[in-house]
Amino acid sequence: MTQPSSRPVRYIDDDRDLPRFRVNRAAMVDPDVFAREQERIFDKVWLYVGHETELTKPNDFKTRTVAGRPLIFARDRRGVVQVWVNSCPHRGAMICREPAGNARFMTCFYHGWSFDTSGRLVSVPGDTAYGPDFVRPGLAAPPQVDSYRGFVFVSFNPDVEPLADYLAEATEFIDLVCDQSESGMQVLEGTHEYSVKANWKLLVENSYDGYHAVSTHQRYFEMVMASGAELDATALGDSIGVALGNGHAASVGGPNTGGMFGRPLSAAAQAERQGRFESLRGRHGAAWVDRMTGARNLVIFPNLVIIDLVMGVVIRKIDPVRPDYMEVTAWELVPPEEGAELRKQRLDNFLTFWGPGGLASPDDVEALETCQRSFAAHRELPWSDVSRGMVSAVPLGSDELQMRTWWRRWNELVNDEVLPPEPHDPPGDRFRGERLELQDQGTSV
Amino acid sequence: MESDVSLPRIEPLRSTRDLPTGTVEVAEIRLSGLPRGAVLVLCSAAGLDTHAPELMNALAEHGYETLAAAPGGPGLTEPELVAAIDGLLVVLTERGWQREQVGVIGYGEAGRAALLAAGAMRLGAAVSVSPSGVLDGPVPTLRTPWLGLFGELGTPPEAVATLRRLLADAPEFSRLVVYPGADADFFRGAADALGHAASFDSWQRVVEWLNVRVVPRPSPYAELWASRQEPKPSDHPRQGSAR
Ligand code: FES
Ligand SMILES: [Fe+2]
Repeated sequence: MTQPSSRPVRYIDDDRDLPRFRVNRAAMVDPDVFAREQERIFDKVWLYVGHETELTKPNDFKTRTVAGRPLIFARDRRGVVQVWVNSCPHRGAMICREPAGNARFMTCFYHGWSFDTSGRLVSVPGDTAYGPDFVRPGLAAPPQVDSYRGFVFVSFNPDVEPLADYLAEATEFIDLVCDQSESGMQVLEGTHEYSVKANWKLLVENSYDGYHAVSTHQRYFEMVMASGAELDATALGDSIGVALGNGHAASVGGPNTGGMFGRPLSAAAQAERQGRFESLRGRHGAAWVDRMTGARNLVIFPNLVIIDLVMGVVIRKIDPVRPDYMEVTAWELVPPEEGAELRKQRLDNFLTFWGPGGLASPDDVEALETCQRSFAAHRELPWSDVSRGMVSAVPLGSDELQMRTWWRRWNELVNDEVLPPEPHDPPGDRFRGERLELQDQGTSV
Repeated sequence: MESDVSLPRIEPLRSTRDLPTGTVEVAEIRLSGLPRGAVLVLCSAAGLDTHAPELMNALAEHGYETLAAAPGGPGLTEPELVAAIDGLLVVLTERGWQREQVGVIGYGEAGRAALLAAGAMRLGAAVSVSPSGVLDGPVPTLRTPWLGLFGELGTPPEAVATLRRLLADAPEFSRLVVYPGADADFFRGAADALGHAASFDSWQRVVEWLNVRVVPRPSPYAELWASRQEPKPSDHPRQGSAR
């Protein structure tokens, strides 16, 4: 008797006639798929490593894992952001074993070779044993490092396209986040770190899934309402899903939807926030700032999530570890000029909504872990359905265009199958206001 | 600072030096071979006989040559104090030490001198241990990374908080550590648990602060290697920003 092949003919069933879009659950359990993802996605595209504002002083460093590689994310002596492979060129020990710190020199604890933040080998104990002509190896670096508005990416593919081309139309949504501070948005010290016993792609899907909010997060919304908020159900529906090229996509709320996911702001905090938007109108135009005040859940393919509820911005990095296990790191991005009261409420929102022990994220984790457990039956029930909104003229944020966009890119890279994008009408004008540069018009500083 | 390994104790060489601010007594420990770096120890005049020799021996165990001196009495102005430190660094320059290969540690009343040096000069590292009067004048803009170690009972916590705030935006990194329940003399060691912990921890921090910042003196082979190198691309900013 021959064994049935564990690999289905296709992982994606994109039927435009019905229409119906399905993902084969083997993609979430199969170690072969996992290996192909590493090779065809994580070794090939741009990947987020960290934000420039996490490194404030010369010789500040953070250690990070990107695509399974241990990295040192540092600002060197001259203030230049550098990314190094955290492995000693001597015989491999990790050079830096701290999560964060400040050091001009890092000394490998195995045999004591010492390197500076510019990657140079500066000392070798007993170096006469190597002779005068020894070629002293410096630290290795990913072949490509670049940044967009403070977001630093690396690629392990020397021939990767330029970062700005890779980010495609997603840059517009990064701009909508970054323009919220005139002095530049800043990542706060500290991280949320948690793990999920589920395939990493399930959290990608979940990160811009508007459909699940009311059911999965009932408990959270009850808390918000109990705190005196008036939840406008029509506002929840005031959103669209957009594909941004190269697998990036977002669910995007209309103007003023950015505050509705938290406990209401105090009057003073509300006034401060409005004041900032007013001054930004003079700088970037009213239409752009109207867009800014809406919620947005953005996924930069493959694993960077930026969720901007305006009064709380989370940067989330999703790291696949095994087919059924991922690690998640999250940071909070803030306008540094924000007042203490508004900051306090922002942090409250960040913790109660997204915190690993908050009132929302644990419910997401629970949902994803039950998915993964049930995928043990993927042969009996092979397909997950991701069709919602295929029939819509303009898909809503609660539709599933975002996930389909991501999966089609995944399919292209992992399975060499190119599927055409979905035809939809352009979104309304409210979602298309352009960014203007009205530098200090009529005002003097 | 005691070590289980008994290394021979080195008696510091004593001499005098003419500084712009007058003649001072100095103590020196010179090391043979390839020392890791040099440390300028600033202490009180009395400390030169009491505390400094032990400290200098402990630094020698970590590979640092040392020069210890009392940089000047309380009568000196800030520029005079900096000029005195500058004069002491000349002694180390004569021994072949570049400034980034030198760390400065100031104890007690000389702690403020170490902070001023961190503002006035680009050294490898600077440490002030239980400094007094750090807020007596304007806090300098740091040009050298600075570590401040305080005993909770020796320095008002508000003063440390103020200093921390004033240094937050400095172009160089700084760290301020307050030892709970410890008095101003914590670094000399104490029999009680908190005092002992403060003394132990502060010494660990001093050594680590120096080790990760003071530029190591290159070996002859390292110099040969450096002379063979083209300037590396990483000597120049290589990362453009997309906008
Ligand atoms: S492995 Fe790092 S010094 Fe040997
Ligand atoms: Fe959720």
